[in-house]
Amino acid sequence: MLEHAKSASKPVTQGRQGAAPIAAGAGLSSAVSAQQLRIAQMQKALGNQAMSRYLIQRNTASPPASQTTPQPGTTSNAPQGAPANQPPAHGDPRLPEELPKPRKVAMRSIMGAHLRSFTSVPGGGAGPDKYQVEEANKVGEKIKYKGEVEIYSSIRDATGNWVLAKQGGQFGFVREDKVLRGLERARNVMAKQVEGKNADGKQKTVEDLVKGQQEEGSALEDLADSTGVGLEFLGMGPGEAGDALDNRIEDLEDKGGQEGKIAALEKANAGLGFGTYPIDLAAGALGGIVGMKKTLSAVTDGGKSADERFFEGGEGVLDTAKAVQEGVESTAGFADNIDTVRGTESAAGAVGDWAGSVGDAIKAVKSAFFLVKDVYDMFKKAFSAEGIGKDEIISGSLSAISNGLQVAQSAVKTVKSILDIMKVGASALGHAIPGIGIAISGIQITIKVYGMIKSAVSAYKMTKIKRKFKEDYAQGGYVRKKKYQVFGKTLFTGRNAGVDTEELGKRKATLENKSDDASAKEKKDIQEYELAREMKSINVKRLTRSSIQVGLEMVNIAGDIATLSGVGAEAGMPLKAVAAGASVTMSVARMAKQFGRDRAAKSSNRVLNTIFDKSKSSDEKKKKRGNDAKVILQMIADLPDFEPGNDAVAAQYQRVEDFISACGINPRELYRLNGKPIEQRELLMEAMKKRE
Amino acid sequence: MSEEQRIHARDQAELGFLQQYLREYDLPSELIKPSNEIPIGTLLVPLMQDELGRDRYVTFNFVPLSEEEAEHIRLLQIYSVVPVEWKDGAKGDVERLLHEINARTAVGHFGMKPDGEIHLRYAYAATASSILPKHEIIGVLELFHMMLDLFSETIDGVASGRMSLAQALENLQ
Repeated sequence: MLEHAKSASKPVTQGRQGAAPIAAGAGLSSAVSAQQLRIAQMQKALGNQAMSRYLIQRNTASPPASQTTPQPGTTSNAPQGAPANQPPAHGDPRLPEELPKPRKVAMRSIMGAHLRSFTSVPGGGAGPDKYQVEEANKVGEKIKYKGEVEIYSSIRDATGNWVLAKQGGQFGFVREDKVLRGLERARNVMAKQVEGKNADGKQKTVEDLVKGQQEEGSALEDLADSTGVGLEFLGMGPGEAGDALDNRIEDLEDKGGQEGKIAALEKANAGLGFGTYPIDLAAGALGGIVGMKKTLSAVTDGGKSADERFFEGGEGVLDTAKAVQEGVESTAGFADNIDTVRGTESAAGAVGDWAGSVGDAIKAVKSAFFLVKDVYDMFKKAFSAEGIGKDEIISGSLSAISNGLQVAQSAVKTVKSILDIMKVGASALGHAIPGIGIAISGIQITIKVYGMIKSAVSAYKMTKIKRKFKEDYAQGGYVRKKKYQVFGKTLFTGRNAGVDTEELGKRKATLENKSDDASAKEKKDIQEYELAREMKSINVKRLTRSSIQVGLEMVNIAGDIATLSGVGAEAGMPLKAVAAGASVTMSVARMAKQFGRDRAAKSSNRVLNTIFDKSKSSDEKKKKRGNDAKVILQMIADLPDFEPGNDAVAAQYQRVEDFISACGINPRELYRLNGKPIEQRELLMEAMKKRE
Repeated sequence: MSEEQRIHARDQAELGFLQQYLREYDLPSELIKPSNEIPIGTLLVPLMQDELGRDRYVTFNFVPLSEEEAEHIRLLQIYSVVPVEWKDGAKGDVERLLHEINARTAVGHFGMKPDGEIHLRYAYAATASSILPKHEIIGVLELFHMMLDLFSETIDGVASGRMSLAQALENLQ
């Protein structure tokens, strides 16, 4: 893994040893060396895990060996200074003593997840240990949606779908797709595949993965298979119906655009505090048709508990929607179809009409589900045992919940009609469209939760909190706040206002008492600045396919801010320094273009033409496309580990996805081929071809 | 998706990676998107202030060339303004000095704009067939930074009149 390459410690993928280094008795008493020789023999025979267990056992029976420093002349790479006769510091004998550095990720599944227990199969003296996940055995508490969990990316099970994690002090395995998003997984797979050296001893690069497309194809595919990462989604589901549905949904997706809707969505979300959704939904790999596939596989997966299938299926169905508000808006079209279905005599006819609007229906369900789920989360936090008594926090949440409920109301109304229809045609529909049954359950949950919150909230409003709640709402201050906190947890993860707001606040306070012209102007400027920061925050999240788009007013405001004192560095961008270099760049480009035009004008000059003739052979074109494809794969491999909450990293992920889209490739199509770099490259080359 | 938009998207992504590499060396930077005022993306890196407490920056821009103009290379311009204090009539001396210095730079050249801005500029030609190579580009930046450190004081000295041209030229030997 990349982080590992940087660290100075020993690579974990090679033989791990928990024992003290063995020496051929250099400077030791014969008794100690005989013991160490036995240890060495055992280690070879039993592997590391058994080794650790043996040492623990042995040491509870006898005084510990005094040896703590490694002997010279050994070839082991045990950690320096670690005593051989103690259990691993992390306390779990199933795992190697030295674990790679863990990192924190957020639970991406709405339904949350549990860690699962596991057994380890020691790899013997040389090989890495293998892990078997016991899916039926849950470990510890359920990790809630957006809850933090630590994962050890390089330690996986045999299938590659589960990764070692730690929560609440306990180790377990968690499904990778519950904690990592599509681009990130693409990156991890890539990083893993370029781990280590290839046959001639050099560090692997992305090149090596896609080299020798014709001859060595199968060898590299074997590699992909052996790392245990296959296609992101398991199956197509029941035959032709699945295919037909997929195609339909793809059509719907292609027609739908996101610009404009995203803007409206974000405005609503900024007020409600659901700001993280646009990025997740629009850019995540679980959108659209892929989410549908997930449903199908969840439905057909006999290995999962009923609970899991229900939730995962529901989530999978709902994941097919692209944007929250889009779903609500699109129900108008759906309503027409509902009537058509109602009036139709034959079930076949109903199914036919139905299939045309499944996408809309599912979007509507999803919108309601998300809204209500999120409101429910806030509600739970506000009304939990810890919360009661913290008046100001509850009043803040109440207003957000109120807002949420209002928006949810219309969504839920729509969803109720869907439920009616689905119940009517359930059997016929269920046959043609797998997953409908599960969607129905999803709807039922949504409606129940909505109803519950509504009644609880109205009851609570009767208390003395009501007064404060009205005050807050009337001022509207909290609605414009960018950081919406409940119990110290930020619900709305916009850009961190942090210290800047404080400073700005102080400055405003100082200016309050002044009434001269300069102060008045500064006050006004600060107001504009605050507005600009809001807009900027929204703009940052904006997924735009037309890449060059920043409002003129934004840049002007930024220019004014450069002269304000005491404002954060982010706003005081030195435009002059930027302009100095950029202007030279532009004039160089202009000059090159002019030269090109002059050259074209002189096309009668045969000598020039010979040298600069641009007709490319198809081989050259193919090579160029190959290079372009490689660039994209390199970018993905080079991405840093994804850190939830780290805006800079998220922004870079976004830039890479923007570039992929700009090349005419649907990023999700690409992620679907995770683990098969050759096919990914082919997909990219096809897309490049279309560009010419 | 137009060609121009694709190139812009690639520039932004690559500048983003450059920002990431700099972060690994504890160098903060700001990635500025194209705007109406400045229509190309810029990576802005603040450097330490000079001895007289003046701000210094390095900016990175990709030169926007179409595939026809530059098929196999991508030009990354590295640019830094040298803060100077001007004394009347010093321009001629400074021009002479810059010529001499430019014969000695490892990378890049010092230039002077009509308005008196003095800068160090280097156009790094990277291959178009892969992303910017991390270690090479950091190495180039280190050299670039070294040129700034080596020569800025002398340039400012002559521009401000604190140092005579003769003295400066002698220092260069």
